[in-house]
Amino acid sequence: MTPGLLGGITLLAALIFSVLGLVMGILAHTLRDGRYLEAAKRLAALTLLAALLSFGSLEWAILTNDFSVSYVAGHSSANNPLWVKLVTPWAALEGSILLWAMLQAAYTWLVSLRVGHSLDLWRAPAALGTLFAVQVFFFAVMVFVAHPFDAVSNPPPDGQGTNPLLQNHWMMAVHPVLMYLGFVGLSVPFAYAVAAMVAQRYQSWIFETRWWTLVAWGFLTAAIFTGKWWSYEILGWGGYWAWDPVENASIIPWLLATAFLHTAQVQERKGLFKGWNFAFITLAFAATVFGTFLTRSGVIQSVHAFASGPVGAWFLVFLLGVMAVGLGLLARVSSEIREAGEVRWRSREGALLAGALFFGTFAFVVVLGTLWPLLVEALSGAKVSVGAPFFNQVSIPLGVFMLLLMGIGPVLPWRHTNAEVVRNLSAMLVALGVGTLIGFGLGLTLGVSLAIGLFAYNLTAVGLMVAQGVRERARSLGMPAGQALLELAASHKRRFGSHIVHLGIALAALAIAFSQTYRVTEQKTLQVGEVWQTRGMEVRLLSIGAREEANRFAAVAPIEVRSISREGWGSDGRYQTRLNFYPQMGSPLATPVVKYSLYNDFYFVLMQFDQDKGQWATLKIIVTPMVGWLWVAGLIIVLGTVYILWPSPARVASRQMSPTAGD
Amino acid sequence: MTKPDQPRSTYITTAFWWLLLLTFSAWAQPTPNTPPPDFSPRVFEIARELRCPVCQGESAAESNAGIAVEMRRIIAEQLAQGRTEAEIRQFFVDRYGDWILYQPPVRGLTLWVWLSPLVGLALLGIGLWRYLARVRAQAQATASDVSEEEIARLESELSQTPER
Amino acid sequence: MLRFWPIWVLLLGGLFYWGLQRPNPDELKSVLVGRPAPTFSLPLLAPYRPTFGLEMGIGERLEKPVLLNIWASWCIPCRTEAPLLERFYRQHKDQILILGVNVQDREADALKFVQQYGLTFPSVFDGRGRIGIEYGYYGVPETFVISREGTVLARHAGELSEVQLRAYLEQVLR
Repeated sequence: MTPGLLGGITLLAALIFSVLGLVMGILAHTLRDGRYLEAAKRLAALTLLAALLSFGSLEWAILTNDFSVSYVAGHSSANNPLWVKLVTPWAALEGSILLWAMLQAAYTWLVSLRVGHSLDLWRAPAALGTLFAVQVFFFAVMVFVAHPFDAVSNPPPDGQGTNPLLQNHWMMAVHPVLMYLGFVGLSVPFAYAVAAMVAQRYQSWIFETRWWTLVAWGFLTAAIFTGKWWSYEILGWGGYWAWDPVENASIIPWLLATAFLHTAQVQERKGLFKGWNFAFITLAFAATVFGTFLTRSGVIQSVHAFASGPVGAWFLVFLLGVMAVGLGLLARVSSEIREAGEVRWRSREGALLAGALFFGTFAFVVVLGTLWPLLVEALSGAKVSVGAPFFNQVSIPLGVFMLLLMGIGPVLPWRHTNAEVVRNLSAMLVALGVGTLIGFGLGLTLGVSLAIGLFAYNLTAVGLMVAQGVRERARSLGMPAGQALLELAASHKRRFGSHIVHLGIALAALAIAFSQTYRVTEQKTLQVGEVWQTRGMEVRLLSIGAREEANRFAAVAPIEVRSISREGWGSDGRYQTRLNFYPQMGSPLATPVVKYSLYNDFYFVLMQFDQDKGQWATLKIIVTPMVGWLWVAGLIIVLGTVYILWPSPARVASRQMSPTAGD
Repeated sequence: MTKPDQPRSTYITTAFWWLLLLTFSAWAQPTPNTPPPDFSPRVFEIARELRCPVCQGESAAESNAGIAVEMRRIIAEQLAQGRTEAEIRQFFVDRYGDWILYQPPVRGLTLWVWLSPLVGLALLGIGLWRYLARVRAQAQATASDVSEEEIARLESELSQTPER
Repeated sequence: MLRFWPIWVLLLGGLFYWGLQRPNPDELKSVLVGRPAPTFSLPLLAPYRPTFGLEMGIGERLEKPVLLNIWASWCIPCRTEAPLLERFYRQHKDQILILGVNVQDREADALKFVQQYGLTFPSVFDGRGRIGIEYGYYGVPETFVISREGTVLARHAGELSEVQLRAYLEQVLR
């Protein structure tokens, strides 16, 4: 039993099990027979087992350097370090689809366990059926078009190696998995939504998918931040987001999922926005499929793209199918959906609706900007580019509005406004004004000053809400403020956690404003021993040398940096700047050395060096303020999400009671 | 082959550098061995707005391809000659077309992509307004089932208990 | 709006289908077509100096129409193309001039290349690719068809085939 054989068999088995599961779901729904549902549940477990075995076989083939498997021959090499081999499954097209399908099978199995608890027999077949249908697609793509286990007739002695860009950093092991967990996770609320529309039960699905959506959103957010950090660390241009089409493809679902997360709360408490939530989750899930379509079809140029091929057409059909199912069902049932009342704008649901409006607009703008070159070429044949400068400019006003709403939302009560709220709002506006004026006073630009003001505004909002809660508790329960705070945090996890997340977002916005506006790049050629005074630092080139490693060759130019003024504070140290040469790549890969500090980050890149005598080296230095806080903000957001999701004894009890109990 | 870890250049023999040169020329896309000119921050700012022609979606500031390096050199030379940013951008547009700019020109068809936030807001706003109107109509339809006095009684009760 | 969902889905699908089907997604049309070819004069590679002089380039008016071929020694399609260009040049050298521009390269490697393929048509050396940028090149090989009046008639990105070469020759002799 070779890994290729085992992998191929289990992959086919996974496809067959998924098809059977789909059939069982359909039968259970049409014949109203619970036994078919039981069969579907078992098939979910079997599919997961088959998927795990298949994925394991791919790892096995890579780890044993089995080059008779085409994927291994094409993307791995015996010289690769162990950790690179472990992550090679998702380094290229076929393996990444296998990872996606395996995670989908895992999610389906988890949902199948919930049948009976939160999924009644009316809707379970439709929900499971939808998930099985998605699985069928991914396994079918592999079996018919992009097979990871194709056999190679004459196995070469060594494979072609992995893309060097993916070997440079350990984040390769983390970011793609997080991203797929987020993308695939959105299929669960979508499946519940489809089931709700099919069974015509329009309210309960929101309660049941609450945690699923948050988990998927959490993974997506973590994936986006880790992706940003990864590109920041290795790409050598000092940035973390290039508005590349594939990056956009990950932020569009995130924007829609965030909007959905908030309007779902409104539906949960007030029974409003029912129709909109169906549309939002359909679009969010469709956006994830759109993302994989872009990455794998070659329709739009991108640094992240996998090789294109016939796979693109399959993903296109799947994308259209998802949209057709979601929107078609919604069109059919929308006349039947009854909302629980009206929306009053000067209330929390009004703020949440306005927020959803802006998130939706932002998603629309990103989609349009990404597709614009394609659209223009289709309509007029001309070639245009839409890149970072456009997106950066357009996201500023939208971002400002979103930050404003993020502060107001929690402060406004449901249904109406009152005097205390007006007082709170005034305090927040004062903070906004003061913060912005401080920015002006420091000589900062309008955008950055506004960012400071908005951060102060959101900080005040959170502070006021927490203080109010603590005051009430202390007064009514007669406990000291500190204890009241802890009690508040423990009993209102969702509210408290959302405060943490919102603060993280405000901090991220501040970090982005500073780092985008004040980043400085400079380049100079130095002789060995020469000193370069720039940006408050003294940079001395010490020597030029070389180093050979298992899968690459590196030219190393150690430098010594000393800070001589406040601007260069935190830059002191000795750094090994290097230029990596990989056999597979035509030009060398400049890998930066990054020095983090509380204020400025310093980036040192070796661009070129004297190949004849080793006497000069060209260094690029990038100074970016406040970017370290972006990673701190990401951590805060993830911790806040974990806090919300952390099971508490009180909630386990409340789950058996009515769904509206708890925060 | 093993090498000493970080040899200082004074200890490197000519033979070693020959070996280095040969290895690099076997692997690397060859570039002439002259140091590039120094680039001020403004060069990178301008380069960031231009697309690298051979790369898959990188700007001329980020890419290390030969064309991008030369583009930065051109920008630096023209800045030294006193040209403005707009003139430098036009230089590249004259040779590559509008495609080389990352900010699509604000005229013709591409004007619409600049208007897209307003268009998006308008579309969503209209959709939302019609949806809310339908909801209101629904609410009024059900409200008319309830008598006036009932409504008045409920309203007075609600206004007495402040809601949080 | 929701009622018309099939239309939105079909429109989107149509756009993407067209995107998948178009023959050359990365192709860029040259803005020089129909305009005068940028003039330049660059040093010739050593083997061609006895025949053609020290420098060569594109001037205001040309004796013969020119096929300007931008190439590099590390470019694999250029290697496939070189024997074809050589054969074509030998057949039609009285009607057309093939001028090679070597970009992003080291002179030693360029010399090895022309020796390996026995190229008799002249090539100039443009190590950093400055003239390439003047012509708006975005990859190698690229060929510009320039008329006797010095106007760019066409730009061919990628490897040339025999059929295409002959078509360009006809176009330029018209």
